[in-house]
Amino acid sequence: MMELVRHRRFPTFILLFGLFIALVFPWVVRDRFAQNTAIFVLMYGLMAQAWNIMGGYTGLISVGQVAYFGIGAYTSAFLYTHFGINPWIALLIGGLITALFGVIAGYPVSKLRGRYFSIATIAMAEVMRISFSNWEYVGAARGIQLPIEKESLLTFQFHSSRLPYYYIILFLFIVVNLVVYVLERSRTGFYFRAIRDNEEAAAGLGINRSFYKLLSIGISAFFTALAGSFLTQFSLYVEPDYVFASSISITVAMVAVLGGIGSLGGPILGALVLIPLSEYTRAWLGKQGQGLDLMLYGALIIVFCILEPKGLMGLWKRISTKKRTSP
Amino acid sequence: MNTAILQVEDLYKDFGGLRALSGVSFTLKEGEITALIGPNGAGKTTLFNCITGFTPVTKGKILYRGKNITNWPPHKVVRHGLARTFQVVQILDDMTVEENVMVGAFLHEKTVQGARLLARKALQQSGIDHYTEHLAGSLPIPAKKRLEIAMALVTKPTLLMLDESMAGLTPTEFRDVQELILNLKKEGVTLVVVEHVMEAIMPICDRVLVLNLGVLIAQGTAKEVAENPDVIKAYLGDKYARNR
Repeated sequence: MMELVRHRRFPTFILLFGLFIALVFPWVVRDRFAQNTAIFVLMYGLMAQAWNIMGGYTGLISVGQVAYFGIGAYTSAFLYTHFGINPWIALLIGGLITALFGVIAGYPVSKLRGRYFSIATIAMAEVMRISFSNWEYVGAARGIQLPIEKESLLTFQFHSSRLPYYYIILFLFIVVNLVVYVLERSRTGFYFRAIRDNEEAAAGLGINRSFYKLLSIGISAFFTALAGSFLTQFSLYVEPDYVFASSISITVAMVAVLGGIGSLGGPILGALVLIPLSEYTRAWLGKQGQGLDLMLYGALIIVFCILEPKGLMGLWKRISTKKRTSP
Repeated sequence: MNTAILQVEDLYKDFGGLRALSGVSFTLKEGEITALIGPNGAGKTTLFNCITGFTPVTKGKILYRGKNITNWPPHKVVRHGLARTFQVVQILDDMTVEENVMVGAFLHEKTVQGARLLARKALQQSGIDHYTEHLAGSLPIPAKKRLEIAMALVTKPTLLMLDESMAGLTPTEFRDVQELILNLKKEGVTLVVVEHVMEAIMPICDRVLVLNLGVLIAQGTAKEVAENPDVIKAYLGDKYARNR
């Protein structure tokens, strides 16, 4: 049956309302655990949106996104502790170095397609974890401990309140979403989607596949690295098993997939549902030590994927279509 | 006299131990419609793939308007005015019909609005403008073939290569495609058409190239080729050729 497409994007007022809620949230909810969870929602939302640029729009399904996260985290920690570079500048340099790494490492990998590309990204992340675990210059398995500085925006350290961290990650989250918003409506966004749908057809339409794949990887790596640098400042230490943990890659991909890939709203919705679910099941059931939290968490994801394979955005599109067509 | 737009010189293509093209040489003249025919497995699609950069050439040279384009990547070939369609339709299934064509329109128009206008024009020219907002993957086969033509046209080619664009179409539908091809010729586009439907292509082509087992066995007008014993042998077998 022929399918007529009417784009169902989030109405602007919903986005503005969401932004308002995000801005007032830490003033309304004072609970420290809830505030921490909100910070992780935004951090994973940022990473899932970065993943979405590669996986959702360009069709490069990465299961090794943690490589970019870890390199970003290490670069800013290293620049700060060894050269005394301001954390804000270190954050940007970390993003740029990681983007460069993404492009260089992505060049041979981007020639692969589908599952072969995904497997290569897992290998890349593992190579990074093992390399950093054995690299004495960056602390090997001990990692890097950041010195505690005076609390200020300049030092990127806040000891008395979580609020500044919340607003910083909210700012980064808004930036990545704006970038995706603009990309979605640009020539580059069309090219990304064309490559995702059919590489041969894309090349036949004059698209330089290698260039646009690497551009997509570079942008994605940059924003993922910003999340890594943020975590460095938030926890004040980095170590290989912490910032190169494969579970981070899987969570990032799951947030995007559960939310609905290839759409701006997908990773936002995915992070809003999956991260609190993970944090609260862990808090409530994790202490029993029987993995009940992970079982419940996993079962919910399986049930959702069966009922709504197109993710939360698929659900949103169905509801909004029904609403418009109902008398 | 028409000038040469494409020259293929002594072209070879090997897939491991299999020689798919063997010393193929020909010249295409500007503004002509050329039919490329041959039995299944003759190497027609391989030849298309080599010319458009989708398959690397083993040996030989391809000159487009005098410029050596041998082994250029496909996107570079398209940007120089050489577009194609595929034997197995290659479209962007998860994008709308209009978006499919817009992707190609971005070669000449940087803005989304401008690309949309160009796309609508190409859709109209190909006769599928009524499908604009449909998902490309959900179209019936004839509409997909027309969409592929629209996608090629929007890149504003000077040489358009159509690979079995009429296969599987009803007589009415292929008459529409014939008309489209003739209109393109009037607009100055040079065309190469791979086709199995002889009654569709023979009446409209200026010249015919015949490939068999990777070798160019004949070239000339439709009448000359139809009477060529090598062509008859390739299509109908040795016995039939001797009995004529």
